[in-house]
Amino acid sequence: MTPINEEQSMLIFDLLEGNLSETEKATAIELVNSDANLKNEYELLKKTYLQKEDVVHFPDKLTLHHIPKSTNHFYLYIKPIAAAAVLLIIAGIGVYYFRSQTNTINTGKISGKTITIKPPAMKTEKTIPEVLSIAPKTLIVSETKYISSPISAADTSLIPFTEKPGSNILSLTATSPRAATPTEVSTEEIEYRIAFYPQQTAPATNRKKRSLYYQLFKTGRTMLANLQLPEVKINTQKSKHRLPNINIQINTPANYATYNEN
Amino acid sequence: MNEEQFHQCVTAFSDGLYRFALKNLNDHDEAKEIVQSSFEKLWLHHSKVDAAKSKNYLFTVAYHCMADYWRRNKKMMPITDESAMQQAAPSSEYTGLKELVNKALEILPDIQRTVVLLRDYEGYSYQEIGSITRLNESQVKVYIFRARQTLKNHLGSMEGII
Repeated sequence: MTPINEEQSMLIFDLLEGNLSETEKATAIELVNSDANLKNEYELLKKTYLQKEDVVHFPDKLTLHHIPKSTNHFYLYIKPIAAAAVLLIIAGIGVYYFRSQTNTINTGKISGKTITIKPPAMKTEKTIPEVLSIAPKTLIVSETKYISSPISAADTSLIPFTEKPGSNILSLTATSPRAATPTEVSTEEIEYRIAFYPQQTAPATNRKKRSLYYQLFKTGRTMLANLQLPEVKINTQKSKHRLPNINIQINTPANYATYNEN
Repeated sequence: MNEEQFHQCVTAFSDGLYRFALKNLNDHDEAKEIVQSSFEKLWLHHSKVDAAKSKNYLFTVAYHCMADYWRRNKKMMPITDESAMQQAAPSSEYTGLKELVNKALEILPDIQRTVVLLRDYEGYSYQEIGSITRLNESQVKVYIFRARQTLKNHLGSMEGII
């Protein structure tokens, strides 16, 4: 008797599994019948097949027929609902954090738009009594008053007065001294601070921003205080630079009347 | 699938499913649990399950329940030949070939036992077994072949003893 090789084992397996065609099956049967060893292998392998008649009855079949009349969908979907709620809370915290950050930290967004800011209702500084005494239509601002303001000497050179002293219309333009550096300042933040917190100092973490704030606070504050203008119009422009070009136009009462009409 | 079809499924497949679970786990309580869970899931998703595929659905769910059970009980660890032989040795109450084969099933690795049970008892094709166990047809065939060889060798050795 020769030992059975793997190929013969596979052939017998395929024969029993029904994997052979009719022709192959006939050949295989003939081969098995011709060799006692293969025949023995065949018979032994055949015994490994489980009999379908080996029935086992499920004892609690009646309980399976019981169907709950209503399915509580809340409990069915509780996990997805909980997961969605957690995600919403996380997203909400993220949005809140982001928005709170944008109020104090530079976002890098510069938007070109015009914002009209009403001056603070309470003006504590009355540094120029003569201005207060002047009627709005004949507003006179001397160049000397601005030069003596807290703006540094370097900055004052960037704030040219286009009108001569004694004029009743004042147009003032402030340009950033660091126009060559990339922009990083949120103008909305600056405007907000000028309008509502004129005395607040800027965060010390960003020196350039602080410098700009300081300049704008002092400028805006001085202008508001000195000129007693009903409104200040601040135009910001898009800029590729770190500090935006900031044009500050001060409307005298005459301009304000025109502005209101528009 | 409607309610009537569900009841027909219970009548037609609960015994086979129970046998499948029982032969795989050798634990009556756990097998009952698995059958109940499978039918619960079937009813839960009865609106999405086609009645013609309900048997496949039940056996797939049952198989995955058993896979979880094996993972929990660390039964996936291979059994050494020696301990397996001792475990599967015929008892004094030996009654015949059927018991011998059933005992021999216990020495098989879980996946081999599962494919053999699905093949022999339920008459599933290699493809259908593959869809239940997430194997391809070749893998199923190989597992069945290896299982048969193991069973054959075991029966051969037992016949000598008996």
